[in-house]
Amino acid sequence: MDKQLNCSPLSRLKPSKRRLIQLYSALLYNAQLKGFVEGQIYTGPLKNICVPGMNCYSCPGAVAGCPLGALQNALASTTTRAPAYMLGILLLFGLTLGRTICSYLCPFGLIQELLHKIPSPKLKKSRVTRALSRLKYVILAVFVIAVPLLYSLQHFPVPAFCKYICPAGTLEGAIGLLSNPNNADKLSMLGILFTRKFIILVVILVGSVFVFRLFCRFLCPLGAIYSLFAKFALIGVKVDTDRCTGCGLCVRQCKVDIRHVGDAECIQCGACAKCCPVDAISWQVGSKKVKSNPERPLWKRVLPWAAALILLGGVLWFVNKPEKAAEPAAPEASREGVSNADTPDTNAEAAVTETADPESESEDGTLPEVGKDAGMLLPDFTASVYGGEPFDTAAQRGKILVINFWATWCTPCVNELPHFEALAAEYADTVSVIALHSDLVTEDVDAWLARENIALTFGLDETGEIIKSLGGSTMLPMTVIVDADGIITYNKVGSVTYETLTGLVREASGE
Amino acid sequence: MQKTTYGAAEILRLLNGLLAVITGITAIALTLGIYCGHTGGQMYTVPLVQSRLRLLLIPAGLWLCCSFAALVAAGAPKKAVLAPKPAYSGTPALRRCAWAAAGAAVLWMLVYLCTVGNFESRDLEMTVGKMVLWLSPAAAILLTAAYLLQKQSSPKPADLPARTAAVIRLVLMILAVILLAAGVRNGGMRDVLVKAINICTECIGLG
Repeated sequence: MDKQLNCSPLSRLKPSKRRLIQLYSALLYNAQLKGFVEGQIYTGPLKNICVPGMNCYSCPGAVAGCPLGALQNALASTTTRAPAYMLGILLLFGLTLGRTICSYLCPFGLIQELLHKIPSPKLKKSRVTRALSRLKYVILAVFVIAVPLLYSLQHFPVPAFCKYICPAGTLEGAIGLLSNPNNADKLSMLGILFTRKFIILVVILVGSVFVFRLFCRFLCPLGAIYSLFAKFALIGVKVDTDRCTGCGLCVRQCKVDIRHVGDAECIQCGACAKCCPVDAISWQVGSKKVKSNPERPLWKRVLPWAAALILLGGVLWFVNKPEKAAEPAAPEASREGVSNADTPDTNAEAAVTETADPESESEDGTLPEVGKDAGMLLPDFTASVYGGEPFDTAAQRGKILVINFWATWCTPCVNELPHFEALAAEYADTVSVIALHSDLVTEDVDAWLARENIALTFGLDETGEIIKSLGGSTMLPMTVIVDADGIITYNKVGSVTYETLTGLVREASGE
Repeated sequence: MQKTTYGAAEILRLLNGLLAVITGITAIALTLGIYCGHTGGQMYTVPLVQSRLRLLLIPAGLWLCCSFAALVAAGAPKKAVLAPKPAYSGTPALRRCAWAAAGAAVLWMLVYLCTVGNFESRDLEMTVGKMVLWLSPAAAILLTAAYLLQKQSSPKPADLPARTAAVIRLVLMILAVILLAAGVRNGGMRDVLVKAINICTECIGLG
């Protein structure tokens, strides 16, 4: 037992191997450092995969997906596609690492542990905390599984945990993006949803100062998923029952609500291995015991760290390398030959031209500059339309034009489409409305439109060129309103109500 | 001398805890102040947020200073060995009641969740609010039952035999690979990419 009491002030400052791995994985997950400077998220191919820990994929630095968000998204589209990929990923993570992920690879766990280091009175584990640790299974069942599945029956995506609870999303995604001055205009979107989630975040962060891993122990549905694999995980802390004397020191020293080492509540931090007086607890890979041997040759000790550093360096270089300058646009900007298909020709590029309409001259005779902001002239574009002729913005002069960027997977987008439908019906003579699906996927949109039967002109911005020309990037929904002269009067990201829309249309018509 | 240091450290620790709570409450109060004081137009503006952050700097700064002092004064950490907790010694009748209550609570939740009518409205605020109101009592009953039904800690785990665990692991691993391949084939991987490279503003709490 004496071996654990090497607690000089200097030894306290020295980070443990576990802490180094936690910091390493937090940096690896958020390797797009330029995202923090630019306020933009990473949109590269690494986002095909998910990291094992909880790390919001809307964090400006995130280079891969969050398994929990992706799982909810997959469950929300169960009626069109079986969630095989996400189930496979979670099964693989659970079987190989199990809850070792919680203690070694989860950035949100790291944040909570660091907060718990702050000196303050600490809440000790008790029967109450042990009972509370069951709450995460309720959250998993209700918010992560039931609600997205139930709404998938209506083809309405609702990632309920992300939307109503997830503190990692608020901290890394919302605050991470909004703290960048480039996104200052996005503050206009904040309302009750942010207020509520911010309060949840503050409660969890302040609570973590007093309670060890408050969120992981009581609320984290990802931990609840991994805990199901406690008995089968390949890597983990195991007890040699022949050696164990049953003194219970490991359970008493442990900061989480375990009944025995390696059970569902055990986060596999390995602290108990250091305190066991008879060395009955050890790391195991399968049934093979892993022994730390200080006699190992130097290269064997250094090699894993070197490989890890090379991987980190590679990822850092790959995601932060400067992008190639865009090639100059082709002089011919109009888009022929995509007109009559029910499904737009996905090989064709949406065309955006920066030309000014002579009729748009202001009173002093000068032409407004073509751009994305209110008061500027809309850059003309032609978009292919589902089941109709291509939509040419230049041909809409004389009418107010309302452009809505949306996607089938985006809850607020789907929720506000009926407002645009009502607007198009109410102001059919004076207003043109187009809803542009801004996404990569094309096959789902057809099926979605056939099911929902919304009377609106639906177009496609498959390459994202149109949304980019209007200053948008990756945030949806986005609405742009253009007056009869082609001047942009409104261009913002965020949901709109019918009342807001009619107000904006009246404003654009000069009423 | 040692006793004095220990006393100072303890006081700092308590003070630090208090300041953490004060900082948290201030942050919540300032945020609620923005929400409640909103009278139309944009709720959160840059000058408003900046002015609130300036107010938060006072408790947060004090907390930071106190944390630093407490860390310096703390010295070597004490390894607190938690006292073993006795198992709940409820009567068998009470345990049976707890099991029955837990079963009823699960049934209550299942009935609510399986009633499709509860999830027809697209007014998610109302739907989720109502769901939380309805399911909270059931969750509270479940947690109380979990409290009453706790067993004594058993440091010696009754693990699966290594061979059985290995077989189950292998079968599940094969299943995982099959699921992954099926997922890549049916477009599930593309779905992950599409969701991850776009930001659903509501999903991260922006609104």
